[in-house]
Amino acid sequence: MRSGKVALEVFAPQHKPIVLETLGEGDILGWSWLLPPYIWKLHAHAVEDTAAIALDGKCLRTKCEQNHDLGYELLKRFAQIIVQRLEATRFQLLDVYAVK
Amino acid sequence: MTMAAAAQLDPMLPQPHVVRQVTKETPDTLTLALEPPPGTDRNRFLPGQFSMLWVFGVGELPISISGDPGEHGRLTYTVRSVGQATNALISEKVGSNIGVRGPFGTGWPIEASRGHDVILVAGGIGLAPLRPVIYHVFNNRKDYGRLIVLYGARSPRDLLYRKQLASWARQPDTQVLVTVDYGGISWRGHVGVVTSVFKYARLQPSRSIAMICGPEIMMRFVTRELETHGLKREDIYLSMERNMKCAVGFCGHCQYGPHFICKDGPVFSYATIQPLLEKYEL
Repeated sequence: MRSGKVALEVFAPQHKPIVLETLGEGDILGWSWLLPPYIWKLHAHAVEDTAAIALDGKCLRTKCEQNHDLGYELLKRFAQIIVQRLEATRFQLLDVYAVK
Repeated sequence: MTMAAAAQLDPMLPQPHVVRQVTKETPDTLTLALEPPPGTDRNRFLPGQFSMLWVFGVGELPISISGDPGEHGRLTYTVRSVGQATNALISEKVGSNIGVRGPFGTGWPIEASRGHDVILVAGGIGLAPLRPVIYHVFNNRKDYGRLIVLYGARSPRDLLYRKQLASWARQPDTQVLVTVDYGGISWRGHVGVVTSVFKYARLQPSRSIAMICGPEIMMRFVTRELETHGLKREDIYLSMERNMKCAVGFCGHCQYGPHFICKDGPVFSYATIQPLLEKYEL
């Protein structure tokens, strides 16, 4: 993302969408193109004017198969982001501000 | 000897203060402004210190001071209702009396922070003990570098001091980043845990002092994040919370390893306390 703000939402029937996370400048939005089954799990909703660079996932995957250096580099970078998001999700699940 | 004079000599003797103002912050959190009796100097405090508030007939609670240290004649406390005593405290009306002992404990390192950028990381009600630091920095603006406030709450309705957060964000050399763990679709701000907004903070680790207040688990995540960003352990401070009773280090209720939180804390350097944070038994 170059600028703006995007909310990652989960849609549940008969409920208002729940915003799980927001992303902003410099963030990567979406990695489902990289790993099977290549299916989006969340909705992305621009909550401000947003500028982003979109890449053709299928084309990029083909290039990664052809050039393993590119594939390894991309996977390393995405793995780091995935780990950060996993840690943030675990922290979020702890619900630390709730009255216990 | 007047009761006020006696209370100044005896830290165990509560002094009646009058509730002068009650401000609703969130559905379960209120801010009480108390006026000390005439002829007392007990409204002076260091940012980070706490008092023991006595609701007559109910009990006594340790509550951090959340007001402006530059404002004399008033002590301000932000209280969240989590049980019988806190519920009684926030039910107090203007004009009623509350017993106050203190202030007690160590304060935030405001002197050591002079000339540095100040990073404040707050979670939930943890913004209350840090608010005096914000007042102090604005009261002495030339003595400090940039002020960065990172604040996380459970949901938009749980955010404290919303108007002040917006006004602080408009001040020069100040960055305020607010996030909530769960946001509804009407919330246009950031959603994610407090560590997720560090990437938007313009940090200069080598010239910064960080102060953290919030649930202990949150503080552990935050210290790790600050270290990842290059802050040294000696430049990170935390406010700890335990079951304070006497507040002067007699009773041992708040013992934390070799420390008493009431007397040696509640503010500790992370370098001092880090080994204890990893202990299951504590």
